[in-house]
Amino acid sequence: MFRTPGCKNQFCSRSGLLFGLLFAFVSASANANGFLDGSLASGWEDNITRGFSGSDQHNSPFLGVSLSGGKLYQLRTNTSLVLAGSASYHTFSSVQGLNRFNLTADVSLQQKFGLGPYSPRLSLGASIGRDELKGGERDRYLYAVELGFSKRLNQSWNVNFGASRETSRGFNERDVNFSSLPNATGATRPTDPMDYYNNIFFGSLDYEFASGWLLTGSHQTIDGYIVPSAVPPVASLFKHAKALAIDPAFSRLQVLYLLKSRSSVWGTNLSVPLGADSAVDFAYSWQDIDADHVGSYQNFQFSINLIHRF
Amino acid sequence: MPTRRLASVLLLLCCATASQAETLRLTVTDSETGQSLENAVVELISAAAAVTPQQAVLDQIDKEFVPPVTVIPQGSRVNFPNSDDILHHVYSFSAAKTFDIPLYGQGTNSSYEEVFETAGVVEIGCNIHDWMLAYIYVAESALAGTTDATGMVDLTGLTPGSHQLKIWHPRMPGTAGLTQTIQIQTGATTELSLAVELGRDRRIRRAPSTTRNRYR
Repeated sequence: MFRTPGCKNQFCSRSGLLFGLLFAFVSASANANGFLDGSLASGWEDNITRGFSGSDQHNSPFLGVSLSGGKLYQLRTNTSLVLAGSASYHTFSSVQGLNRFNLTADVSLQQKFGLGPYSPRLSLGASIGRDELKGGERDRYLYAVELGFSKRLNQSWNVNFGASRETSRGFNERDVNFSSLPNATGATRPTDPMDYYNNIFFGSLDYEFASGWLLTGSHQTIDGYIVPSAVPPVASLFKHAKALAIDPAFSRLQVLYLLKSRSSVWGTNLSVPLGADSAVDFAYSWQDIDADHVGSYQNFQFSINLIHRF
Repeated sequence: MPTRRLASVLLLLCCATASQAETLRLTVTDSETGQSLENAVVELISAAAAVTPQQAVLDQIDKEFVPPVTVIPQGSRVNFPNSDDILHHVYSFSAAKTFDIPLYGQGTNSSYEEVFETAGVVEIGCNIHDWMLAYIYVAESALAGTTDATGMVDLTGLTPGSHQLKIWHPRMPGTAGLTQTIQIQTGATTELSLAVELGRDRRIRRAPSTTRNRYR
């Protein structure tokens, strides 16, 4: 799971090459349906540091902007390949060290079993994302594969479920002087907490009103890891952390911990059309995280998203 | 012909004016809102009117079918050009006409036509863009038309006497529509008003959403 610094350069090179090839392929082909989506988001999150205790939890309003585009290649009557790329920026007003710039490229193979909107669909996708944050310690590549199934049951109801595996690989590891940290005597952990994986099972149910409003309820179960940040000394975190690093997002001394965990994420979204190709979405999600041997914490998020398909 | 839901229909013989002979002027409204109903199909069953097949075009512009409702007599041919710079895949499962025109782009299939021999409503979709929906109403009579934005349609060249009038709209349940017997006045324009009960639109939402961010 934990790689050596020597692998990082190869990792970056391979990823860069993949990004380049993917975008070149997307832009070179003309025999496909192109799409370009833009979105603006504004919201509030109550535990952006994923802290366990109240003193370690920070809430903040946020703003986000995203642009994604790609092409759909119809390989056969019911088989399509979607190549897409996206760029996004997410900024928190109270903790600017967590401001994040993301680039993602993804490929998805979609199979419909029959013609029309009521045919079941199976999709197999893979993506490569790159996160860069102010301070650098949370910088990472995020690799994901996903298998999904969706079926429109009738005019109103649509069901979607599947599984995915995410692999996170930090690429901006820094040395940690463990002796400077309270309660860290003898700590010999790996020093990149962004090296981990998550196994995710997800499902959602949509209800489309006659007015075009779309109400979605969703749930995810995540078996893997979390990366909370806390002010030391936190003996239990030191004991069970799989990796440690100094958190550069804060001016005061905080430590990032990699902890084995299971999470449950519930979400609801109301999407109101503003036109044929625009909508405003109101989303609320609630996350319950249970870290092995350490405890649990919650995170709530509310956002308003303006989406337009160009 | 099915006559269900007639209880919900208000059919009024308003007046008969002397302005134009053997013409039916029908105004269709939504029974719930009272608003004018566009794209309602009105067909007068008349053995006297000879059916002449026609040629029609159902285009695809900005990921929509244009026009949304097409009325043709039996035996007519329809061409399905693609005016978008993307691919479309036109299909129909309807009993009156089942066909499938796989993926084609702008400027292709310009001479390809489908023949519609059987009377009835044919629902047209695009296999790539699920929200795209259009209807071809294949009339058994030559006396058919669709209402305009004011909910009005004129059928001309009618013979006086008793006729079966069929009304259908995309938002009416099923494909049978309503059937009513009416009297066409001699030497006058027969004016009728009809309020019909509508269900929800069969069309699927086109607008994007954060929960449906995949292109489909």
